[in-house]
Amino acid sequence: MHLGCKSIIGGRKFIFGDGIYSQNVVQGGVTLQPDANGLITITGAATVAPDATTQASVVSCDKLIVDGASASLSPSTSSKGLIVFAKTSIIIRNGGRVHINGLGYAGDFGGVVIPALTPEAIARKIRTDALAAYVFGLVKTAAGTAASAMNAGGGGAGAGATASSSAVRLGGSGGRSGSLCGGCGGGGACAFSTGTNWGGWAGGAAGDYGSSVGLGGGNATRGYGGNGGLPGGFLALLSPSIFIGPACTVSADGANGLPGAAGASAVVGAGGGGAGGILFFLTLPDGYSNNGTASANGGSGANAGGVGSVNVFSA
Amino acid sequence: MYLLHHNEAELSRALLGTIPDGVSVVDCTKGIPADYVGLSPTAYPSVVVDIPAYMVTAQAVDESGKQVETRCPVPAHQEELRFPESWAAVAEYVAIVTARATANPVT
Repeated sequence: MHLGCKSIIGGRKFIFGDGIYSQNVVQGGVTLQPDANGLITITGAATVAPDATTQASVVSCDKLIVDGASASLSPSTSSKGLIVFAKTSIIIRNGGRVHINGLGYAGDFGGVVIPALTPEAIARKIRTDALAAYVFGLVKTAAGTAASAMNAGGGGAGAGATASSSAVRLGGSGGRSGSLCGGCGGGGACAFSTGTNWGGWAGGAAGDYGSSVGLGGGNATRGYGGNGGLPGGFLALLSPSIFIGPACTVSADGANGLPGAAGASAVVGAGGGGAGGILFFLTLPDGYSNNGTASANGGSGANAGGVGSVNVFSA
Repeated sequence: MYLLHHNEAELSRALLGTIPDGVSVVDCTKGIPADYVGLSPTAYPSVVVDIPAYMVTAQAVDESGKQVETRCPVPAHQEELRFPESWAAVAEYVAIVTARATANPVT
């Protein structure tokens, strides 16, 4: 595959971007700047706000290092994706983290390609034709189920607390995966047969698309169910060279479902885990080195969320 | 007992490198094998273990709001042990559930 080509409107286009910094990595309230060699170094908790148009958090740069156990890069809030184009390299070392854990963007918007998530200022410098071959989130994974390639997992169901055999104490169902995130966990429940005591279904009555986390039911007398976990999102790293060091992580994990609070009877239900999202790596052949962990795990809970998918490609 | 392995996970690689005799591996690195019929994976690595049946005492609340205890059986099943730190930790868990079944036989 060619890495660059002549644009119809002029200028070269690159599958890994043109290396011009997008000015949107914020650490400690300050927008990080590259050094004289084009290197951006993250040493603390850095975030990238979602673009107002695409709702995805997209970075373009030349070289990026996430360095140290206190160093992390993530979206600043729920986002359709954390996408990093680095023209030369991405290095994660000394315990650094890049993640979109529990920050998935809910909804059913069909198969998605990276160019559709990329703000115009960056998109006009990338090989949209080449990237359009990679389509994400075509399958809405069933609740509690592991994902197939390029898809996210389904959310875990909540669980009702143990009560008498005549009581209805349903935990909410987990949500199906969204297009770019795992399904939310369902809420736990604790109590009896009135509907208000049921744990909430993730994603509303249909339990779909991870569109909302399930809330625990219950009451002060019997105890409460815990809320479900939020889903992992979509995380893509595109660079000729990607290095993940030992004890470092790149992850799109679902958040854990929560235990409920005890009422007077000390009986509780528990929420289900949010499901794992989608990881995508695109590098040159032999450009990917992972000595740490790349994961899209479901969160734990009454029932854990389904695992998402880790997808590694070379251009 | 078997290991749900994914080569992108550091802990999974460590467990695979120290796997005891008699434990099989389901390699999910390229996706879940088509012929796999066990528990749907929620995380990598996980170790799927057999849990023997046992009796449990459960807290319950009856319709009048009174707290009661009841004994009920938990049938034999499998559990996905997520992120076990070592095979020794897996063996410790298996010993615990085995002892629980011995001490609380299903009647």
